[in-house]
Amino acid sequence: MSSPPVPPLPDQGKDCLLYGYRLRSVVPLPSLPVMPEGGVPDLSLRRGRVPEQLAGAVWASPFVEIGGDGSVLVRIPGIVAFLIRDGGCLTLDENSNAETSTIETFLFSAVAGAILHQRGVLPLHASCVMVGDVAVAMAGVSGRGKSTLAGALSMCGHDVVTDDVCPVDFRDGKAMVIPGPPRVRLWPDAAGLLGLSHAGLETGRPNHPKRVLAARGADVGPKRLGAVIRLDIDRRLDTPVLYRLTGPTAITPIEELVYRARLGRRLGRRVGLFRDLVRLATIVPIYQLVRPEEGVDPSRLADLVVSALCDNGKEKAGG
Amino acid sequence: MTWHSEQITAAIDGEVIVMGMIRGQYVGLDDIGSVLWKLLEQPQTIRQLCDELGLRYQGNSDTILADVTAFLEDLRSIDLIEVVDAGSTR
Amino acid sequence: MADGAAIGWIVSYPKSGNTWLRLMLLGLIGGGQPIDINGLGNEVGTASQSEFDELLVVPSGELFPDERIAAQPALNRAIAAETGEGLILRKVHDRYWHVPGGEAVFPSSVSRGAVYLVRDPRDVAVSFAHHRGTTPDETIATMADPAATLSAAGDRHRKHLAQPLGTWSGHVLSWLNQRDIPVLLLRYEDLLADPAWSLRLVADHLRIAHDSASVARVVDATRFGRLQAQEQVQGFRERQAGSTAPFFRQGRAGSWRGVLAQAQAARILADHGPVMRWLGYDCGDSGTDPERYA
Repeated sequence: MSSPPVPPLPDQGKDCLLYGYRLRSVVPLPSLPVMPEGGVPDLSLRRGRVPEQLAGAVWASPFVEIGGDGSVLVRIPGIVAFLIRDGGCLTLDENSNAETSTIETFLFSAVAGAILHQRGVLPLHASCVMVGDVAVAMAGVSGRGKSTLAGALSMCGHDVVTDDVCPVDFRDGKAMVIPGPPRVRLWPDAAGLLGLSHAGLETGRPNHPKRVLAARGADVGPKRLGAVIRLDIDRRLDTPVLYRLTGPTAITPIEELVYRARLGRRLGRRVGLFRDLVRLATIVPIYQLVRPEEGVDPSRLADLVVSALCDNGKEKAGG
Repeated sequence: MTWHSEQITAAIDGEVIVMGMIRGQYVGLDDIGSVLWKLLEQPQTIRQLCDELGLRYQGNSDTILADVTAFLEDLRSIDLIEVVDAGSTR
Repeated sequence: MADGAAIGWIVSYPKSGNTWLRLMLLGLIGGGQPIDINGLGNEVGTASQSEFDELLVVPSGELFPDERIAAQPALNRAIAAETGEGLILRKVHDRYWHVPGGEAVFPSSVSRGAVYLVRDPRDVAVSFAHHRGTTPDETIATMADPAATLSAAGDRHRKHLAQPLGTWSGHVLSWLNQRDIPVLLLRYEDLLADPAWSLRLVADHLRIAHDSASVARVVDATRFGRLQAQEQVQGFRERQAGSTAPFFRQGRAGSWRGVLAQAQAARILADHGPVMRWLGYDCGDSGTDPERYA
């Protein structure tokens, strides 16, 4: 059960920044910020042989397998495949003809999730923008409107920190968000809600209906997390409501707050994720924003998000 | 009954959250549940727990017994507490 | 079928009493405790995009429909694996179907059994129209459309994966003719007329423990009036946005009389007469009692 050999690292080329890590890649990744030359890369992306299946896989699904050594295979059959080892050694299937936009789409989602879990970093399932000098993370499973809300806030002038995958690093008693690619993935209806022309936006995977809003990004440094806002939908409501969560409800269900929590647990992060979330809840206020399913102007939700940060500031000033 | 050996306990805003380390099952407890949980760090019988609650909260003893029994059964069913000496807990 | 298999599929064409039956079964599994209509968790719903993303890791929103469809059997196996040893109920509106690779979407290896709940298509047409906020004519056309699909690609309500329905008749036959999963046929009209008897049948089929006391408690707790009253007080999460009626609307059989125009009823009869007759629905033929289910 030998894993395929690691191809040599490209010694040339520009490094780019992926979720706070210096990535040296043989394939162009135009959505990522370019790093100054001279540093030692944290991550490498090379082309090489990627097996059809992982020998001795401890878990397998149609798209993802986990090897006994904690390596992760992400494969979209016939399109693209990545092997992720040791939290930073990425191999892109040498037989894949996938376009750059397809490579980026999966690199920034499932592959990034695998890297962060392998490295023991907490990835919130959240889109994140700057409000004043702090970052606010809007969290929830797919379909809750994270990206739409981030898009709405972006159009109000808030810098986008990351979309969908939101790595959090704990430093000096603070929770810091590590910025991701400053782009927001939108369905056509969400683009419409934001008043954007579907045709005017970039595509992700060729011919796929999802579109990419290239937003103004924050600078590349870590940002202090000022609040987490968990998004929920309740058809019974007529108008959106925002309230503070306290106690264990702030971080449960864990699966709704962490990006691919089950993958993390299978990579040995069961206790680590629990501890990180408890720590997060003791440092950062966590809110719930519940909206009716339809008929809410995204800018109204954006105002509520901003108001959470302002209330939080008052609380701190008062106490 | 007492804490299962394979669990991890934390508190958020004074309320307890417990996770089993084998399967990752977890439960958040309210204030009374948190009190019971802290007592369960040492082995307790149902009667001891009921007596303790009776001292702290008003309530009829039958209601307390029913609530404590249901609470323990819930935690036991997801392996967050275990029976250490069946004879002394029933 | 696997013996300890996890999933009990509660199958029906939309608006045929699926939610009501699941509420009863959840009550029974819970030992006859009072029912909260909003306590129906995600775990009993149809497969959602968020479940796909969480269980299969890759974001379903970045896949093309054929890539998503090919993974559906694996998604159902993953749902069963999450459940472990217990029984989980899953609402299904799909017809019984296979992915292009040939595998059944509902794998028999993880299926404890299926209950097929069927309702007079004329009542379905009325209820479905109210639910979607459309006219009976549109619904009648949907029920005759072999390509009819719930949550189709491009649908604004993409929370769920696309669920092929086919025609109403084709839907019934797809489930009753398959031989992979043991299926119990139950008529909504019989569930209404004798809920206790129906519930016992279903519980036996899915091997849910029950006794006469727990069945009686559940039947009482899920009487239609009670669910309606709860919906009026609390609202109900399953109600569709844009719906023109409460979710628990009437709960009667034969209410299409006086609502559907004669031509509309005749159209349904022309589309679905053979299957309706086979199921014992009054089609105005001689020898049947028109008031049987009224």
